[in-house]
Amino acid sequence: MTITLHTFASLKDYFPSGEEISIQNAASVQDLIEHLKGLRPEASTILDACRVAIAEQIVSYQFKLDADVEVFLIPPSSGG
Amino acid sequence: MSNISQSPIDLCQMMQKAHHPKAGAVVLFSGEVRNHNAGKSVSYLEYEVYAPLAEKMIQEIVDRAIEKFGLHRAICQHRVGKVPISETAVVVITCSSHRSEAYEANRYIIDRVKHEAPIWKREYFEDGSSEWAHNCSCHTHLEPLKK
Repeated sequence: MTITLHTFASLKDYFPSGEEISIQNAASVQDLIEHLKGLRPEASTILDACRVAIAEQIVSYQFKLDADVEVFLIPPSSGG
Repeated sequence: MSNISQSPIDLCQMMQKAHHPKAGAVVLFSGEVRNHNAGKSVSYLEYEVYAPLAEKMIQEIVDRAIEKFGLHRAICQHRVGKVPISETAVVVITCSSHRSEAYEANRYIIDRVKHEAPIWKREYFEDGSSEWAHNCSCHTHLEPLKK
């Protein structure tokens, strides 16, 4: 299935925001993170520190992804 | 009032909105852009935000602070986009009957917003370089974010 990935801040250096990613059906957020690490191993540290949001809600890494879902990867904040 | 602002934050205007007849204490924190960081001269900062979630999270933090500290009013607004030196990047105003709660709640709100809200700053230095800022280090007393 295909999902759309939205990224922010330094994570955009590894994964452009709005990119479509193909992963196996019934994948979880954890599966997606591992898949992204496989694509860009140098992003592993920041990926492990990310929260994930879907439909403006933070979801757990066990959350199952639907096809065509928009996934927002939230790297550690640096506001203020 | 939005918790995210695309335009400069007017602190006097924010104070006007914050007064409450039951409040004997009004505490205002203005997080401003300084001209130095890690030994380098800073020209300005630029903030990126995931606005829908940031709005929601900031409001939840403010609402929680009102409940936790028994505040009469609380406001938090964060700038996005380019913010020059000495301008306000984030403002927190807390109002309570007595000063103890206003001070504690103000710290609570800014610490949580810095730690949790999906907002990121990029530092632009006078030598022409720029980089994304590192994570805030103000949250050692806060719970780790759940994943």
